[in-house]
Amino acid sequence: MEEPLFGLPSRRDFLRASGGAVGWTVLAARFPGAAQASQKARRIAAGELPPALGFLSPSEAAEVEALSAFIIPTDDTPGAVEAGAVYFIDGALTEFMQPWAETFRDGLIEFGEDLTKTHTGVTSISELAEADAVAFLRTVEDTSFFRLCWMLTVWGTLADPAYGGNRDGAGWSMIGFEDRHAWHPPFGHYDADAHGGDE
Amino acid sequence: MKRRDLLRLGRAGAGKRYRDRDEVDFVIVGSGAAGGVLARELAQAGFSVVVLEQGPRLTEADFTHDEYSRWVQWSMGDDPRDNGQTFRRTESERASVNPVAPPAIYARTVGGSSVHFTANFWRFHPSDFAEGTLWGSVPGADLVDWPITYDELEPYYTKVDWEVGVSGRAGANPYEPRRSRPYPMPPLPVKSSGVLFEKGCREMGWTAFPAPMAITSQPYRGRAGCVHCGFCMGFGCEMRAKSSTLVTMIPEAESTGRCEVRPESRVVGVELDRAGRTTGVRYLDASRTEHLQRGKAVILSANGAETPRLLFLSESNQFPNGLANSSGAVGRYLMFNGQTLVGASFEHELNEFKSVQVTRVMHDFYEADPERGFYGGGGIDARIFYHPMFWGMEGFGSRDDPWWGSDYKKLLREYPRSMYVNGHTTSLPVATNSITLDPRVRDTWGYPAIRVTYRDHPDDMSMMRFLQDRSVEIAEAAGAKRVWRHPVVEASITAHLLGTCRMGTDPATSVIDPDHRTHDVPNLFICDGSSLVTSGRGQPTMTIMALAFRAAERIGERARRGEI
Repeated sequence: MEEPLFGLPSRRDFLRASGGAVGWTVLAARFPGAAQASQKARRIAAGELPPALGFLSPSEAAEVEALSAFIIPTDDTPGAVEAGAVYFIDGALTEFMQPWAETFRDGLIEFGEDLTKTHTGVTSISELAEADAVAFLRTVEDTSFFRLCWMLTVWGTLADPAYGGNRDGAGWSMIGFEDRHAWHPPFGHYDADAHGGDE
Repeated sequence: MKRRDLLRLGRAGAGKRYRDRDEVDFVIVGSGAAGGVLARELAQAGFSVVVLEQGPRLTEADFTHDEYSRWVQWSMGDDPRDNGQTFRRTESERASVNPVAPPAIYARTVGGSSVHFTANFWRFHPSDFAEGTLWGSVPGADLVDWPITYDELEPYYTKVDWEVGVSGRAGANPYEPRRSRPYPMPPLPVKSSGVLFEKGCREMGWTAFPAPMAITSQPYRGRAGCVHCGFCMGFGCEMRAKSSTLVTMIPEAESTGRCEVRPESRVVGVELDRAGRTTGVRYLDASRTEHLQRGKAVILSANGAETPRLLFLSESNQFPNGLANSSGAVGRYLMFNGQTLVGASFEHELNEFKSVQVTRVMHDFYEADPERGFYGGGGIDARIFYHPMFWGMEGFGSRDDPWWGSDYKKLLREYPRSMYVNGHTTSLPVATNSITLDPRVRDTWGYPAIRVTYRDHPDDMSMMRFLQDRSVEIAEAAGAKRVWRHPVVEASITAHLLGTCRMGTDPATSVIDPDHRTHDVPNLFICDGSSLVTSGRGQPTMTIMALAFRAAERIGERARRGEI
């Protein structure tokens, strides 16, 4: 079993716990300190403030963004970069994950050191050819830092746009989800012919 | 009246106001599935009622589709920071604050967990009440008959159908127990998952039927019909279409002019006089000031974790092991219900994120069958299980599937083409599975935290594996392109909190009598998930509500006869 740093479970733990009654709450519960809504992120999302960083330096943000692009890549559809996941991550580290922010920074530094150790002269994952970058990431994917980055990237791509990521619903449209207050049948391909009777 | 004023009125509640020193007929602790029904029934029967709810009064104006707010910021008053709940697998272990999730999940708001439930409303079957006799004993468990039968409860199930509001089609389930009236509303429109589930069941020789749901399929009793927004499970309904007690029973209780629902009132003890009768309850208001609300009788409907906890917090010289616990059964026989998940993705879009979570169910494996070699039974439904954030976290694969990179993204994009086949199973009543007070950890209010001790009985695990295998067969027979299993594991969290103050005729082995009166304290009653003697097959809320309708009638009759 992987060592859970930051108090984070491994992905295997998420899957194991999802056998319980309410699997989708499992991960969220890891961050009971998340009581404050990201007010700044909300204002940025509303266009009242330009996207700005609160914790990460511009170069740290660039590296986190590059990493997020390997987690949910951009191809013919938007990925984590287009969704602005890095702004969600920065907001999280400023607010509800603030107690872990310095640990995150240490993890990022260690990530860079590992990278330089295996690829002399290289200081950013974006300097490597894609295949080399993926191969390197396979060697660090079990670190708590990578797992935390992964989780925040997924959230920053798929959470409500109010929190700074999933900009303009880019993550939602990428997976084919649309948030509306009302729908009418038919809902999908397989129930197209099913709506004639009492339902 | 402006909408803003209406909302404010809705938030405050329109009922009567009592003072703490007013001795009301009934103090009810908890405003959820049971407390809401009891409040309405007793107030309509002419009694004065105060309902104390520990959470605030959220309304449809507060409810959103925001997963982050719901599950990261815990917008339903269920922030685990406040709870301090701990978990352990067995009594020999030291419990710890669960590192993954609070073990007992419930909404702290007016309406309780009926506000965030998924609204599957299956009736229990006659066998659920008699498996001690029908099946016999199971090693390691105390499987016994209920002191009441399905037939005794049937009129109250019908009351739930009609007065709370359930949609469905009578007669569609070939295993349906006898019912005295059809459903008041037709089923909700079938979704693609329902059509595919029907096909899979048909291929296998089984029968899918329209899911009975506590959601309006058309305007009903002053509420609008469901608009199919897709956010039922875990979320409050913005349309008042989900039949929570918040929008059904509680406004009707308040409109009698005899019932006050008092939010942000956290009960911390039940008062007892020298004669061994309760005189009311102590509670903390929002500013944590302690009050004593007096009452001629007290009904605990705080849920299967909070009710036993309150009894333990109320220990005294008369009841050194916890109030009303001469049997030692308080807190014991905790039952979670088992659950299994099988994912399936198809060639075309289902768009399961639209509309209610479930539209088709099957009960072919509901009854326990000795030929399987173990005790247990269950039902299976087809549904959406994940909204986008948690779909990305854990929705679409086994542990060996890609979890980052372009292959992960491909799986992410299966969202609209996927569904779940979801099994719901029995939990045996095991004496060592329990709610107790944690000796070390305290909640935010300074009181001992809930400690959950739980290990699924081996037969429960066997039943889960059995039903997951059947779920895979259904998904494959429905023509899925890809089918995946979520591992069947021993549960450590639940939203079903059952059995911890079980009903029975023998004061030596049960906590309440068949009329929900505690064996030990003549004017103290308990009605909620803790009253259940067995677990059913995974959808307990309708039975909790039916018990509450019945309990209200019995308690009211006794009160009128001066027998309380």
